[in-house]
Amino acid sequence: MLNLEIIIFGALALITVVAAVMMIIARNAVHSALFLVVVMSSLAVFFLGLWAPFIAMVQVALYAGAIMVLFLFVIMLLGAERAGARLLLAWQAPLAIGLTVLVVLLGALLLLNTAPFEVVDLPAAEITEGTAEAIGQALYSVWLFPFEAVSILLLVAMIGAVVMTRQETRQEARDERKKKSL
Amino acid sequence: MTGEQLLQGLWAILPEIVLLLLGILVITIDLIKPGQRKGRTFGALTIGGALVTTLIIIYQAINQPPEPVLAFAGMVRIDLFVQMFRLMFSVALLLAALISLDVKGVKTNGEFYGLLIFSTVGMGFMAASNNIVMLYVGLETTSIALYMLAGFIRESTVSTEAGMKYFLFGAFTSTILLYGLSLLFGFTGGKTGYAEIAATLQQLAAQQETLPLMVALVLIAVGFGFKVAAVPFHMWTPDVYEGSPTPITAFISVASKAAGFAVFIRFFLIVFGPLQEQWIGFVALLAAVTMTLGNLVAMQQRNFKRMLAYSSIAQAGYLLIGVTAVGELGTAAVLFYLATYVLTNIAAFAVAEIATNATGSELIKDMAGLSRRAPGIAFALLAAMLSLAGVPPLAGFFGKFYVFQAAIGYTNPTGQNSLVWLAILGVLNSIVALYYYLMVLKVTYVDRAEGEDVPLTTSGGFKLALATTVAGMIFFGIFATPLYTLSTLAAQAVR
Repeated sequence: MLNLEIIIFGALALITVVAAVMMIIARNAVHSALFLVVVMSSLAVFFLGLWAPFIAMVQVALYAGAIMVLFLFVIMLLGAERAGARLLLAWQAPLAIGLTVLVVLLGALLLLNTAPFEVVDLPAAEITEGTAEAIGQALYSVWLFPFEAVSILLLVAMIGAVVMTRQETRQEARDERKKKSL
Repeated sequence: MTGEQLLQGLWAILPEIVLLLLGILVITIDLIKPGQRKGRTFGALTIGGALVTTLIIIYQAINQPPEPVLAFAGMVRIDLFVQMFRLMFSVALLLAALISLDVKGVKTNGEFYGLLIFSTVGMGFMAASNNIVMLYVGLETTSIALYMLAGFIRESTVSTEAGMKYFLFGAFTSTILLYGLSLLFGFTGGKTGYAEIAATLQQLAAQQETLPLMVALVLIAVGFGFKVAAVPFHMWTPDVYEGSPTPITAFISVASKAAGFAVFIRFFLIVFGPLQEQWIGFVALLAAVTMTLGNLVAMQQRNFKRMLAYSSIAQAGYLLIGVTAVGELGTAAVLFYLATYVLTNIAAFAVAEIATNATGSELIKDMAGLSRRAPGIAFALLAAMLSLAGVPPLAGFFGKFYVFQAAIGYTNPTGQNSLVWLAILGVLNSIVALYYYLMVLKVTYVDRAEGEDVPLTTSGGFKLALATTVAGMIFFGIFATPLYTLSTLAAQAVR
């Protein structure tokens, strides 16, 4: 049973990392967005493996679904799917890959050289912990205040989005023209 | 949660509730009366609301129980330390609204004041947070509102650039902070409250398992370092300070920095308290690099707002000395320094706006003749520059004095003092800084310019803001004791 879990985890982890790397290096923005969908979906499976069905569903419905559709819309509307013909900073990609490999190797070395980590068997999470009911309970008791504070955050973001995209009203445009002609 | 607990919690966050309602009121009025000239309604509302909030905070601070008030299942912690920061935020909001009243492009805009108020609410949550989730929500509320405000004048390319830069850097460092927080969450086995994390770290530190924790610590320091504009996370500062509408620059440079230090102090002293020996050297290095680089680059600036940006980086360096000198003395010094810095920097940026309006240029050399055109404004600039430089009898002198004193008085657990070098470096830096602050005064007082006989008229908002801040600088420069006593009491409440 444990082996099967490890095999599934390994395969998924590989898919996720490869898709994430492809998302960054893809030259077509639509391809990037589609690779991001792969990353999001495999994350959803990870959540399922951690006994968190609610988060897994939210991950699929919100991130892989709604948000990615918006991404694709914006990319296609702006016609931004094709990046420029030539790479402006061609040296960046190899450098980034090299540095990443270096950091991963250093991390692995450090981990191997420090005191051996104890493998602790955590008590298996109760299946009830990740349900919508349990999350609702938690949100409205212990996490009530941050939950409410997030609504302020979203309000601010909403007002900000309106401010940033507002059109000049006709009156303002007329005033502007009058000022210029004076 | 019982009804009584709920009431107690609501009373604890009353200043934020008042500001939130004020923000919603301002935005709503802006919505229901579209297209009409609303003049100074929003500015006046904001100033009035900030004044009421300030009074509420003072009342709460006077009646503050000796034990910290933990509200909403321990998410929020209100003590004198938090009250003092709240006071700084609301005063900064008041002054920023005052100097916005006559700034083109923002003065009659309801959304501008609304976002300004919401970001102050976020800062209140940051300072009061007692839980990493709460901390992050507060930080994001503050930052997102400030990104919008920095890029608020969309017709201006520099403002748009400032908004975009601030947003990209901010979003990037915020993910780094989040990564650090999630590592901490994992290493402590799912703890989110500050006190619980600290208790777990205590155990881990006793077992000598600190290396993974240091990774989390460094990532979190990156997030906070961005907020307070410490080197090497300062790259955004000059462009954002130069491009943003000046009242927003002033607000970012004082309130956002203060909020950054509020979480920096609480997090490093309380949560990372058990790892003190490991991080002191790291933060001391950060302080040394920050003040030295800030001062050296500030000397070469020709644009007044950019110079003030580098000067504010240098100030962050001095403040970090106070954080490094862990303990009551250091924290009290930081609090005192920040309180006087709020007044000083807002005055400096107000003068920058007035000078830019009068001459159409932000260059220091174009401020020539200001002393003859507007003696009062020039005097405010004199006070602000000397206070930033730390010249007595202005408040900035005591700020620096207490910070350096804390570094010299610091002793580590083995009874030795390892921070004297930092204090010496700080003093050397203040001497370097004196050069460029005095250069500005030389230009305004000595240099001659064409049209220097034309008197400069300034509007009431600027005059009132400058009069208040200059009075504050002089008052706290002569009678530093009351403010320092308050800072000490607030510093004692951190533990």
